[in-house]
Amino acid sequence: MTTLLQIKNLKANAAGKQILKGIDLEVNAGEVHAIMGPNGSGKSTLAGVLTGREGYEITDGSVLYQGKDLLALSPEERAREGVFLAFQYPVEIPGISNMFFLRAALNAIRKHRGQEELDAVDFMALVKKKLEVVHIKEDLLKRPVNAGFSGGEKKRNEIFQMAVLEPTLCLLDETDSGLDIDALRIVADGVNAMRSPERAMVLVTHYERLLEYVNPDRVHVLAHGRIVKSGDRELARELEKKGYGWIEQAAKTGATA
Amino acid sequence: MTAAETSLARTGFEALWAAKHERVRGREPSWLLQARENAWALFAERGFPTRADEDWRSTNVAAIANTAYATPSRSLDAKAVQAACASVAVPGSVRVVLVNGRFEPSASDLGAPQHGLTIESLSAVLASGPETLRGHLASQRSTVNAFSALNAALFEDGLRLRVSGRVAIERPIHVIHVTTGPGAFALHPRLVVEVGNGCELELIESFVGAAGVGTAFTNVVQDVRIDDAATLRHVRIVEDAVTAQHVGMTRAAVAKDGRYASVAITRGGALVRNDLYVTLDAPGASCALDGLYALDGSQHADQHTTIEHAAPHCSSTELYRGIVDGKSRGVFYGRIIVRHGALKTSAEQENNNLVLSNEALVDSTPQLEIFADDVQCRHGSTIGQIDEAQTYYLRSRGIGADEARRS
Ligand SMILES: Nc1ncnc2c1ncn2[C@@H]1O[C@H](COP(=O)(O)OP(=O)(O)OP(=O)(O)O)[C@@H](O)[C@H]1O
Ligand SMILES: [Mg+2]
Repeated sequence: MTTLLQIKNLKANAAGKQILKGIDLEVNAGEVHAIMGPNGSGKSTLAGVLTGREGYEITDGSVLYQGKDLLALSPEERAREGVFLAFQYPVEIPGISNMFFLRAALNAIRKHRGQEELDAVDFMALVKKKLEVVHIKEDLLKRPVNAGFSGGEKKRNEIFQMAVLEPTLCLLDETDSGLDIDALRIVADGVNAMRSPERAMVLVTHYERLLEYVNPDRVHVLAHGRIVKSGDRELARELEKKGYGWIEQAAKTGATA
Repeated sequence: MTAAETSLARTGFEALWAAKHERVRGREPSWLLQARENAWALFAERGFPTRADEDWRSTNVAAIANTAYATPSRSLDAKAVQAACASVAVPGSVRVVLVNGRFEPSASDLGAPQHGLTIESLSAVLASGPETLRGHLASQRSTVNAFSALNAALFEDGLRLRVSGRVAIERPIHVIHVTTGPGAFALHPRLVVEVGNGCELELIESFVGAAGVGTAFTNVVQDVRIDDAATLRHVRIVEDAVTAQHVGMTRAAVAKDGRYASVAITRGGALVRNDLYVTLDAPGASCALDGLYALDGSQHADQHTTIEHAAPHCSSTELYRGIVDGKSRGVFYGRIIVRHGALKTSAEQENNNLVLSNEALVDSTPQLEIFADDVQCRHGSTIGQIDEAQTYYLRSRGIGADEARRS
């Protein structure tokens, strides 16, 4: 099995405050991992650090992606190498149409891989196929990126982009939050459809429900900037029942011991 | 600008005027000399506009007022001119080149004559039959601000384009205004365009600086007349050198069922001010004004448009878009006047801007003045900014930092 992502003792600050306090995580190709954890524990920060968002200072540790130093790459280089983040809060970009945006993104990635860029016609054909997967109406594509989209539409648009861009490492930050039951199913189906032996997924979620549809290989708990517990599918069920208190307690005593 | 600076500026142009006056006296017809003297008197009385002037609130012309310009050099670097023309060439067009405001036959390519179309240099018309220009040049119509007055007083050359006989001219006319030569110099080209009843013409004007050009101040006036059921498509592209100053005044009068379609693109120049004044004079007249300004560095570009609905059943659309980066400043001022009695007017105006840096600025003023009933008018203006989160979103999808800011 090939290791796709290897995070070692990763520490990062934002605004002078330490948020990630030594993360260790290994994800192999073909695997799906879930990260759960209380609000403010650093889950989105981890996603931001992995995709090169500005404003974080990395003070220690390393991240290898396909054996390469991920942290040395610019955000766009990471994307072109196959890293994708489905945002917790997708931003609106008035003035750029969804279609234009996605074609520019796909062509940037294709160019990087030495593939020919797609013209508008070929792109449209590809898009039509992918649209069915996430049940997005075509007219959403003509609108500016996320502008005026409902919360659920924004999340589905993230999965749609993922389906078009076909990344190797998919990070999903609470894509299941704020979705109704049908939309949750659609997102889960999208994720399942993309599972493959070459691809890995890391799902940040607060809800056990998504994991019922997407059966993860590993479940981790991130609390206070550390992964304090890892387990299988069963751990998520336990968390759903008991909350985080018992783990945080155990982590604290563990840390001081 | 202080009073002292204004008078200093006037003295700079005074020398140019004195020389001009000396040259044309006794050589040009007396009505033209009179028109020049009147225009100069108007300029001398008003001086350059200051920021206190409502129409110039957003544009400071001190840089022009405080420069001592020479008359442009007449020796031309043919290679540099040729390269400048090639850089803006429009395939399939008739090429008419003005170098430093003068018609330059050696750089032009008029091709075979097209039936119904006459292209003449203004100086040639003034030499052979100046009377036919009297209507244009003796009227005060174009002398609406200090710059157009200065043009009326000082112009040397330019072009007259006429179409008649109900023909549609197939090949577009591409007028390339090239500036070349060292130092600071001013030029005042003038274009007279007449599209006769039922005729169609496409006119493209490019303003471009040859390699190594100094500080060129282009002060251009275009007088456009569109007769009954005639159409003019008029594209103006300002791609002047980064050191250039450019002031343009375009006046278009559209008769019954006539149409004026204007596309104004501003990319070059340090200081650009374009005034476009369209009057829809008779029922069925229409205009479509489109514009794009893309600015960077310390560029300043001001687009002033006025559409005057003077008759009923006329329609106008206007869409200007701007992108400003660096420390540039974009100004859009769009005025629509619907005169008393101009019933069933339809007017739509929109101005959208994208601000790409913290130091760039946009100033957008749409203005409707409606004196008639039963009209449909709509206007709107937006100013958008790309922030850090949006840039990151684009980059996280593989779109490079520079493209992310520009896409
Ligand atoms: N740029 C920043 N400046 C200051 N504080 C920050 C910054 N980014 C994150 N933080 C802080 O770091 C902590 C972790 O935030 P993060 O968004 O990673 O949490 P999370 O685990 O994703 O929470 P949630 O489940 O609510 O989404 C929070 O206390 C947050 O306020
Ligand atoms: Mg979060």
